[in-house]
Amino acid sequence: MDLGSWQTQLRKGAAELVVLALLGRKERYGLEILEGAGEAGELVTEGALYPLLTRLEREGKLASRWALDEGASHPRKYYRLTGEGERLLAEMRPVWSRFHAQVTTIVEREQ
Amino acid sequence: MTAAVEDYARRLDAGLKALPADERERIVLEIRGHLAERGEAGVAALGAPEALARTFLQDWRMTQALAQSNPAALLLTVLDRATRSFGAAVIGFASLSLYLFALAFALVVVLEFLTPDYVGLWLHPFEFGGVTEVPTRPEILGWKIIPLCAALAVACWALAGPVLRRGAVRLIKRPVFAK
Repeated sequence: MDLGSWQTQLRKGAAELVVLALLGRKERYGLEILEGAGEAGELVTEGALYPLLTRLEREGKLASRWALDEGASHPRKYYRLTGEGERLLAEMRPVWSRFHAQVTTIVEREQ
Repeated sequence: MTAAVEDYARRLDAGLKALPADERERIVLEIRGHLAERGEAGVAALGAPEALARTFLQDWRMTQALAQSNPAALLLTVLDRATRSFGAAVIGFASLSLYLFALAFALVVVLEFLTPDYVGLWLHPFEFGGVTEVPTRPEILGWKIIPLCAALAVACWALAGPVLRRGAVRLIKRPVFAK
């Protein structure tokens, strides 16, 4: 079995939840989201992040604002959750927790 | 900003030409800002600008086609994505097959009116639909092939829409990794 391909599939499924969870804590721009996701391993790749943010914003889950921060040479696009995004995150969290608990129970029982 | 970053932004912009100008500008501005901070390491990590542009375009086209309830545009977008996604290939093949079956059954109905002797169901061996030579065996269905094929055409067409739409909604929520 190709473990790399399997990991990619896992990341694909988790990318949306990871981004919503990071933005649920505070407003962030793209690179900050990547750094936040990177702290727990490479959960979201750079090539996937920006299309995902664009799609979530188009769907009304995220809102954004442009800011030219001190010391930055280019404007940064900051994302935050909308009410709809917060509701989605609140719905996804328990689903993820149940899924995680079920898989962990089975995997650890097999060890 | 390095020449590599400038070249990346230029190629991304060219790849996004089909998007509305304001959306394209926002995407390029954001990626340009990202690369200004990440440098050339970011160029490699983002993957080819053409591939990144294609991901943005496919998502945008699929969203537009879903919003407009345009099955032809949606099917083309799903098939375009099939080269990079097994799920898109399965959904595209299934919905395309259903649409083709619907058209084939509808064609049988039309042919039954135009050339009834050459249309029908024959057994041993099994032949169904239009034939180029009229078999000597007895035909089973007669005129009943019209309501049967009309119902099958409607059923296939009605099934293809939800398969395509639900599949597209699932695809759009699964990011394509450019890297």
